[in-house]
Amino acid sequence: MPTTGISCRRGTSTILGTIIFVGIIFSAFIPMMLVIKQADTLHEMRKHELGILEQERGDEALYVYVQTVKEPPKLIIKVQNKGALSVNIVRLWINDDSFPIDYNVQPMSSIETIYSYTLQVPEDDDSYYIVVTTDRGNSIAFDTYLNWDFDLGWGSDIKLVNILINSLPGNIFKIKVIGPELTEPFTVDNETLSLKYEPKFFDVPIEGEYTVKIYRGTKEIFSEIATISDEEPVYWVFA
Amino acid sequence: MKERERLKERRAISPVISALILSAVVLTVGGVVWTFSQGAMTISAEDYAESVIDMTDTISERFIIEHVYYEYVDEVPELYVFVYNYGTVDIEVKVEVKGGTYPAAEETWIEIPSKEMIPFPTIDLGTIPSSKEELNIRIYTRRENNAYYRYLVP
Repeated sequence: MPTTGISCRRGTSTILGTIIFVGIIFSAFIPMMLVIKQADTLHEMRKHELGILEQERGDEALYVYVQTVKEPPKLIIKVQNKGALSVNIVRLWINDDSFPIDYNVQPMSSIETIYSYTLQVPEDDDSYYIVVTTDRGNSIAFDTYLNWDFDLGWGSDIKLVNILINSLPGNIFKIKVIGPELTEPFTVDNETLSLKYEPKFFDVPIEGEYTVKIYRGTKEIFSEIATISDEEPVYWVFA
Repeated sequence: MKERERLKERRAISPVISALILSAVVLTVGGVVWTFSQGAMTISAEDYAESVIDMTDTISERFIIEHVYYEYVDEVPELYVFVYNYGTVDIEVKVEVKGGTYPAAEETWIEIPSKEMIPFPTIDLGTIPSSKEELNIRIYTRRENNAYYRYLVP
């Protein structure tokens, strides 16, 4: 009889203890695990979104062009989106002045005018530097020097052949830019790339067709004709 | 002998009362453990969620130094820095240039809301930088992210 009584009491306590344990699991542990899981999911989602943002930022291919007008002195800023993503332009910089813009450029667009800037009181030999900022945080500059001259109007006296070689850092190349007749060829011997994408700039004297040749050792590995004109004073070669 | 056996079979309290006491003890101890574990796990979950949200905000910060220019105004060499926050979270920043930090006060930060560009308060460089001198500008946030800019003094 005493044995039966003790086991009965143990049974009651075991049932109560089990109920309490199950209660703790359901009311405290499982909600905690759900909160943790939800926080982790949000974190992973954000990481994924940021990865996409970075990818899209790198994929933006916006080109900026500036048309100059002599009378009245004016700069017409144009853009072209050669990428596969639409680009939102948020700001335009002309020298140290910023102009807020809200302009969307569709992918693979034609050249579109985004802003027309009339110079108020242009001074002789004033130069203008144009940069466009996108909402993904890219700043794209118009890479031609713009200079105002009272007599000549707009002058852009720099003509460039820019070469961008996609290769591993440390590789050695010889670059030759052969110009039109009567101009000396530009040769850079043993050019070592320190960065993977490191542009090389060649300031060329006159308009015309320039042949860009790149050698590795004695072997010619790349050749392209770069046409420099008043309309396109800067030519990019991607090798 | 019989007296001893009789005494052995005697109980101090009745089985019903002892069962009640035992159940009460189990319920009390269980209730305390339940309450404690619920509180502890709620705090742990909140702490964890908060730290994950902080970490998410930290990795979400995106900003650039969009523009910098230098002017020599009234014999004071002044630097103007424009920071663009293109991320989805608001940021608080300071700028570091030529060994100085701006704003200098430890608890003063410049707030930049998401998708906004703000001009930094004018920075007095103290000494006049020489032409073609390279100024390395560092922007850092309260969450310890950095952006760098190299500016050549014209």
